[in-house]
Amino acid sequence: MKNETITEKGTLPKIPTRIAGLDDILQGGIPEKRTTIISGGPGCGKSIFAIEFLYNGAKMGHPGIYVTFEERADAVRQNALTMGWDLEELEKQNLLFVMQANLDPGALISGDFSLMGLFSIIEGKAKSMNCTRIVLDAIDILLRMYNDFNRERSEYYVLHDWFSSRKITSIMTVKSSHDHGLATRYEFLDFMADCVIHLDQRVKEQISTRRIRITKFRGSDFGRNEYPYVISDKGLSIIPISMSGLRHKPLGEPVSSGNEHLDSILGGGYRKASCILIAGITGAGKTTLANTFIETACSRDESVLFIGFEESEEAIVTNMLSPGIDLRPAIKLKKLRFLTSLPEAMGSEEHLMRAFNHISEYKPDHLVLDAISACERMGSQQTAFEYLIRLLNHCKENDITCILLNQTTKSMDIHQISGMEISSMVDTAIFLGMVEVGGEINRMMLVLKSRGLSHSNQFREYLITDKGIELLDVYVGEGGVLTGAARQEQEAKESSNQRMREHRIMQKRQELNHKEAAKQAKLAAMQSEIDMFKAELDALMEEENIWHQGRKIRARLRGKFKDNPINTNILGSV
Amino acid sequence: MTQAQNSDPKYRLKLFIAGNEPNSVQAINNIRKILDSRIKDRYKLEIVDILSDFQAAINHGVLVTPMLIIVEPSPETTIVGTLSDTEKVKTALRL
Repeated sequence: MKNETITEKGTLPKIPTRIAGLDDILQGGIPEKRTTIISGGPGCGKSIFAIEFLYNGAKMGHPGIYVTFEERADAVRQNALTMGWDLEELEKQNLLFVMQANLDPGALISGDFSLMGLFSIIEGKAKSMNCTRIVLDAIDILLRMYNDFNRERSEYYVLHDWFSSRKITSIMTVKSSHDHGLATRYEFLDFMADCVIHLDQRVKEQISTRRIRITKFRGSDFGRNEYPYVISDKGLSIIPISMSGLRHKPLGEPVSSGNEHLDSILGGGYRKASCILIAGITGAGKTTLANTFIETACSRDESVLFIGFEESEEAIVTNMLSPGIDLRPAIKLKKLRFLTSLPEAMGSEEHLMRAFNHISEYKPDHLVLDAISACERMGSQQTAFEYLIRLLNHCKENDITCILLNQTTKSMDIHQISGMEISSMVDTAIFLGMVEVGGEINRMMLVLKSRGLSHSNQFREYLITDKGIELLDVYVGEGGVLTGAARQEQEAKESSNQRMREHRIMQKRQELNHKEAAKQAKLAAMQSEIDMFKAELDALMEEENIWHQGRKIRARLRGKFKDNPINTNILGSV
Repeated sequence: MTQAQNSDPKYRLKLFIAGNEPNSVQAINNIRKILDSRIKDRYKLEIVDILSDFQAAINHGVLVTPMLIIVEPSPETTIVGTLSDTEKVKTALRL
């Protein structure tokens, strides 16, 4: 038997309960050789808590005694078996003793009595088994026998003393329900115990959630919040969200998304152990894109866990056949497992535990969650957030690639895609949108973020064909990226524009030629006009010459010769 | 410590005690007084000390002491305590 006690300098020795998550809150476990009280209403798992503690201990070689005042021993064994705990097997090995301590309800009471019978049984059994762990379930039933408040109190003192003096680590459960006024009646138990754990089950928005709270731990620090817990088919589990540190590992190698074109846009593919968010409105092809990845991953011999809140396994498998994705071989080879349920079916803790249990048992390489927008239906936005954060943390810690689908309500609202405020956890974000152009809807893809890889930030058009998703080359025309018929129309328009432009150039060229020709013609006409004027001028000049010559002749004929034509004035003075 | 007063007892009883605990001593005295006064020689009283035989306590579900089990006459009846209420005990024994 190995010593399990956790002892730190100056602190209380503790015994780990090995109940998932609880030891974190208790900072080691319950106090050794002391009394721990577990209180809670009916059905919140006090007995399971206690049995799990003993079972886990017995499995490690620490014998335990379970005294039940309420149930029959075989009922206890049967209930434990539903959790996968075989108590009978441990009883055979003398590591566990289930003692049915039902008080005969018909027993008469005449005079005073003590609990010596119980002590004697426990002491005798404990000695023969070398046992130091004892559970009394439920102490209020035992004490009620006295039907006298003061007597109950003093008998509890005796009980407490008896356990302490024998260095026994004990857990006592007690019913507490404010409805029945028991909370105050057995409050004294809380004062005397060294550690008090309160379990609570409440219903909020029609969904029941369980919370655990440590209200007292003498001589030790502890997580003081209320922590959600679940009772799964493997026992009690507490997931202290504030305790789960970010023990993340760096992103792994790129793995193919199943679409070569998308891989190139993403800069190689999705990163292993990263978180990928695919957002878009309904019908945008989120599931198809995710399943493209699943099919490829499974063919690489990697396993995928599909958590579905939207559709049944059959519906998904059938629907994927139309884009040419056949998931059936992967399911057959156990490379793909579906975990489908309605978000409303249970509380978020139970959803989480189911996921955790499947992850630890199936050990998938990748996980697909369809869709995070549905998680809100588990209760509230806060619940959904807690669920997602815890699931993502768990996946990151276990090197599991997480593909989250998110349904947005507006087709092109990229601000809406982050979803549930988890964007900081997301490594790759792909947005699938629809645009209406020219009376038809076309699909557009945008990689918003691809942590650790260089990626294209252009909008792409994609088609969902019978061969899966097909991405088209980016078309950058005059009006931005174009899609579908508009894209073709634009292409046609562009080519006709080209022809038009060529035509106009030709037209202008011809016009110019005409003008040139006209200019020539005009020039010729002008020239001829000029020529005409010239000819007229010549004629006039000739005439003038002839007139001058005629005058000289006439003067000579009159006998007067004058050198100077100015002399005409003298001539006048004559 | 077993006491047999008759070879063919009509009354068979078992009294579980815890050593020398005052309650237990009282119970032994009380039951003997009642039996001897009414059915002397017609009863068989077995006194079991659970401190030396815890297995007997387990077998009979003895959580508290003292505890008297009336085996005969049937049906089996259980009385816990010092048996100080003589009338109650007599009624249980149908005396």
